[in-house]
Amino acid sequence: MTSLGEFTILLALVVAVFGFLAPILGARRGHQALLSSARNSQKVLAGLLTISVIVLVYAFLTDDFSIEYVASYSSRTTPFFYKITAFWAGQKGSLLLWVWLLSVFGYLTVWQNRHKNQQIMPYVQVVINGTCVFFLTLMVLVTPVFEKLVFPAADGQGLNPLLQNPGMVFHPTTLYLGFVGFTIPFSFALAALITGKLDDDWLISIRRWTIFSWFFLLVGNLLGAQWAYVELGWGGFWAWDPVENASFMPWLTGTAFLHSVMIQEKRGMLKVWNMALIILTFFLTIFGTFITRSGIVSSVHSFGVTTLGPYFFGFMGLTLFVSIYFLFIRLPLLKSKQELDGILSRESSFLLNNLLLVGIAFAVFWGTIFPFISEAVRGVKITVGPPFFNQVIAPLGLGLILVTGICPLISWRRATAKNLLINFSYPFAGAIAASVLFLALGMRNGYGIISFSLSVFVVTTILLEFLRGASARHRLTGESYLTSLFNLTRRNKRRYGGYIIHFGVILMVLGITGVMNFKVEKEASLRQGQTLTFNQYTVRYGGLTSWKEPHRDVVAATLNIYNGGKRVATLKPEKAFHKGQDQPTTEVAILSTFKEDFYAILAGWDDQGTAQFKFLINPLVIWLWIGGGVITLGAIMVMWPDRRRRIKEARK
Amino acid sequence: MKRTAFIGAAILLVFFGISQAATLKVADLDDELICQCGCTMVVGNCSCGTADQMRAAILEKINTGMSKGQILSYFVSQYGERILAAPTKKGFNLMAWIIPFLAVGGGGVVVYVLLSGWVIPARRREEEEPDSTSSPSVDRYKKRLERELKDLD
Repeated sequence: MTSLGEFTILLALVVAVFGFLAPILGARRGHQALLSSARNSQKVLAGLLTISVIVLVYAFLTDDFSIEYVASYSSRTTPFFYKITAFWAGQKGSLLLWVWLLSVFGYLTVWQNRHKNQQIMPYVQVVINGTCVFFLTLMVLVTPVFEKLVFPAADGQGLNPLLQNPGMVFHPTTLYLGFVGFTIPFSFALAALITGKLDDDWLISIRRWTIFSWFFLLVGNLLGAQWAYVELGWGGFWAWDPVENASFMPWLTGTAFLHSVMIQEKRGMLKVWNMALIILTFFLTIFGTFITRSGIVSSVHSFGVTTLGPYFFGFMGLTLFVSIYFLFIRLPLLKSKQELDGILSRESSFLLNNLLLVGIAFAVFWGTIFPFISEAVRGVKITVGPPFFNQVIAPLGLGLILVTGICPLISWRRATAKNLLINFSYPFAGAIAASVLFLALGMRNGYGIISFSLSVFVVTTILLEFLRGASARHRLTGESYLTSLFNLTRRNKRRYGGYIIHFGVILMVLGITGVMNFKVEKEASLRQGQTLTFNQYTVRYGGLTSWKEPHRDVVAATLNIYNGGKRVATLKPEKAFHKGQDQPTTEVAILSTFKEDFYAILAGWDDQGTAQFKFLINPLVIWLWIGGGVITLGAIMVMWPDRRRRIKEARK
Repeated sequence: MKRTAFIGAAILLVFFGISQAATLKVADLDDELICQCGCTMVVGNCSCGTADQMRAAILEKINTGMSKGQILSYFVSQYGERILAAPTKKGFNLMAWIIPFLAVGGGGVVVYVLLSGWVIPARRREEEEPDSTSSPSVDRYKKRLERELKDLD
């Protein structure tokens, strides 16, 4: 089986090289048979890499410890479920996951465009297969996933216990769907630049791929945050680690692209800027991969010191050079008539939105690379951690929330005083009223008050937009308000799906603001039967219990939680001692409500029966996850096929 | 009088010192120092033995009456600047803090200049072709266009 895996990867490299060269030759010489063959090669490439994936998963499931990768990330006692997820736990497997997804996306793209975009599709394939060639070359020459051990191990080292969490099943895969997905919009952009076919067709073709990639990048980040929250045991969800930053940056530039592309679609403006944004987004996805694999940063997420850094660096350089070269030579074709009737317009607010999104991405990038700059200039190694990012990003983030409220409601071309008054008087009044209320309730945290008030502003703009739309439809059609609202949303999925996404973002803002500004914590040593009062909660420690599982020993504390004299939960925070691991892992216990999370960590214990705990009250954190769910709903709505548009395209 | 002032100053000094020592907590510092176990997390977020030792060291320094700045300086003298979770706001490190805001501010100026440039030709056209934009047919067309743009939104 192992030989089959090795063979399919080698053959996939050959096919990818063919898929890279054949479209160039076919397009240049007008050789239809060659182009057709290139299209078929996409199917073959996806098929071959699917076989490689199956072979690797089979090796994990059958404990084939003759393979170095399997021996490093699995063991006989690793639960069945995690034997499958161990596939992408290490560098070699994650590279295979990357290139496999890209090959499948490549095939889907070719299939989707079998009857359209014939002029640029050969070059779309060139870019996709060029990227595949890079990854496959690494897999063949530098990090072969099916590398055999000279002496097969009797048992494997097992999977890192921190990765044995359901979140780790979906976090890497969704993140990769986002990372890899952005290759497709980039391929179309570069193909449009290469061919000089720079009308809006390529933009329309990548619309769904962009929202798909953006959505999965967000979900990947959120699942990672959720994993950190429940698994790492420190009570937070985002540590501004370089690898976390690396997955956040392309999401920010991707978000900027999703917005600015609307101006190109509606007004034909910002063509160069949109090209630059999608190139930057793809570049940042590769930069993220480089950060994780180069060993240049210390991170809980990185794959340690590896030899892949220079290869990724070279690929990033090549990508940037080729993209900028074609962007430069096509500048004359990208010139568009930039006209506005007034500075205050939706176009301007979108540009402000882009400025803030790209500004935040730059601040994150700057903070991530500043340690290297410091070392190069001063010879002093420094750390740029959470205090820096929180202080720099927070004011920019607040500005972005404000723009989130303004963008959708301001008029295209020019906003008149009447337009501003109609659209913003209620939201503005709502925000002011909220500020006064928060102050009256005793809130004195500046960031908290501003953030919550801005959230009220945005939510009011969204609600008003739904209400006005439904009312107008009700007047026109005579439908009930509820039916009007449903039909309005159904017939304008992109617009109202976008509003729902904005609403989800605001819910996330509530969660982030709550934890960042109002978190309280307490450490305590408790004897069995002793109680502790923490805010409105009373905690009674009931003692320790322990048990053995095939792959770990577990010690758990029993905590009865009372609120207002009534028992509301029994929590069991744990420490788990995994076989072959020096450090125990922390399994936190959480009582989650819409208002706050009561978060309990078992820190240690002694022979006298006293246990040490850390308790946190994280306000509103649940809204971060609910916001993710609402965004999912909005994204599905935006991506949902539009029957009217399909008919329109078919007529074309 | 002098004696009264001295006593008053001494009371203030003692009160200030005590109140600072009383208010300064480990939690005020452990999010500003990086744990040295290699986890890359701030001390406040790490639950390893090294983080426990660092928290104990912070508490010890607080109990000796050291200020927050003095405690941070102590750790820098022991481990180097990289123990701080964020760059200091002085010297070369100040660049880390101001460049992002300069970039956004500079970007804002560029955006404003660009937008201003885009607006002027539109106004000029209005002045040059007042008849064509004010005719009822064009008005109708403009209204229709606005409506369609809104519908397409």
